[in-house]
Amino acid sequence: MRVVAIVGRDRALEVALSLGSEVIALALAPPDGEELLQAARASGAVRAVAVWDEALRDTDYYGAAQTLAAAVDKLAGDVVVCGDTSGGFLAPALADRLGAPHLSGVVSAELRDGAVVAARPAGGRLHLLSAAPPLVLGVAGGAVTPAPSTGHEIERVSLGGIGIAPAELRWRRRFLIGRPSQKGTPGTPPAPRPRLLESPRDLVERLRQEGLLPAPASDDDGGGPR
Amino acid sequence: MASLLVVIELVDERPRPSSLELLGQARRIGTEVGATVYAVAACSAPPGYGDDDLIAVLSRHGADKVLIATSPTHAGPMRWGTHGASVLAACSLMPPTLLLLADGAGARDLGGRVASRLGAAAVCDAYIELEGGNVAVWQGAGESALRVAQGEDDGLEFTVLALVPPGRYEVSIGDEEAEVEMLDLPQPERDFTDLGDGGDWPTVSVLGDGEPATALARALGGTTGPLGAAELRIGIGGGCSRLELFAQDASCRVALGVDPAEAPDVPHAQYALAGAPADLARDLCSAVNARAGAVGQGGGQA
Repeated sequence: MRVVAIVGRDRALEVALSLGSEVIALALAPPDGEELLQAARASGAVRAVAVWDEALRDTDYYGAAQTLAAAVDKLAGDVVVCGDTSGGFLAPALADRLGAPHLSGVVSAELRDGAVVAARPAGGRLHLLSAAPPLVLGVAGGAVTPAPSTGHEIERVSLGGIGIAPAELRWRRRFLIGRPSQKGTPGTPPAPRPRLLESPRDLVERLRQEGLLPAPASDDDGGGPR
Repeated sequence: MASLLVVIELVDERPRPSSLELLGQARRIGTEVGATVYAVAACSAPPGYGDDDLIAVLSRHGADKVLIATSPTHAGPMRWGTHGASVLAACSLMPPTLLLLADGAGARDLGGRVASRLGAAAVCDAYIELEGGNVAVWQGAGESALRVAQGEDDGLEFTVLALVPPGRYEVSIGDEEAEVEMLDLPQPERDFTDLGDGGDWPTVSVLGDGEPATALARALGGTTGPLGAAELRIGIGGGCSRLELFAQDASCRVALGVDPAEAPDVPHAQYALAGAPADLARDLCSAVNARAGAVGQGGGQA
């Protein structure tokens, strides 16, 4: 099984390596931004592929997913693993482009009888879900700093090499109007506003209604919180 | 603006408070700009028509029209594989200009794929603001905010899907009756098979030092430290500043021990409690450990 890891400062490579021996590291990376791919090779990826064009510099999740899906097709990847960072939009969008099922918020995965079994936490429990490839996993948790490494071969691919015209990505720029510091950006940015609650009891009640804390134990349960 | 669609996430068959907050903000915007507000709810069984049932709750909280999709697959936590077809069916019936979801693990699993299917702009940590009779969508706040979309006279130029953290907006309460439409669901796409429970997994991360943090983590079944896949992050005292590390994280973030006058100084928290951190941690432990009947009475809808 061929696993493609979209490398970032997250746990995607770690989960990818737990799935198979043939892991290909893939990134949208300019020539001076190959450190994550170098680190991936040092960690066990058998190939490292960088796709780059200046049109990628300011595209959004959709343009990134479009590009990565074309690269995954070219690499004949069966399973794609990427991080859930920056809104977590990439894994679902990439899966959509590939026409494959996806699962976000994954903390670990393993192979069982040719299928991928992924673990996803919710409500203090792990939920196990399984699917046969092709599929896409979004891995929770970030802030991984890879060890520096150099000297590994990095394959460089242009947009044309995976069948994408830069103009297909540039139109996504219209979605980004600007930051307050940029000249011409209208409006006043919103002020942050955490909600000040009255008491710990109010907070617990709110978190329970949100499904973030379990319901209270009843007198019949005979136990404390689950 | 043609339509605002709010995805209502259910917990134990009741709407998340944050979904109702979003419905409230959609109501305010819809009223101002003349847009219709739709609420789509994916239920495991058809809801009733009583005063406390889902349809009445969504009507009272601002929906012009409630779209209901019913399937046994909706019984578990929200994710694309189980709930995606229902949201897409709603988008197909009433193509939204603005699609709103309360942020969380389920919303992220669902949102990116729906956005991709619609070719929409996708925004996390979103603020949906009214500016001079138009709507503006921002990602983040303050000087680091990114303005993503803005309305003109006839609404947003393109479809935007926004993930809005809990606690950002007030609910809206009214007495209008909403129309109700039951959605026809398409054939489900290939999905993961649920293999069941895989055991305990801490989903609460307490950021802080000393015994109060340790005791709180123990009471909540969580851990002290950053924890990669936390659903809930609680900063205590000096630990509140570490919430910034998780600014675009899908988790809910709480700051304990803030000065009420300085609550905006913890901009990456959705909820805050004022007071002495150690006292708040102790009281929070007590509230969590209280049995049913001691906490939770009169909770109802936010």
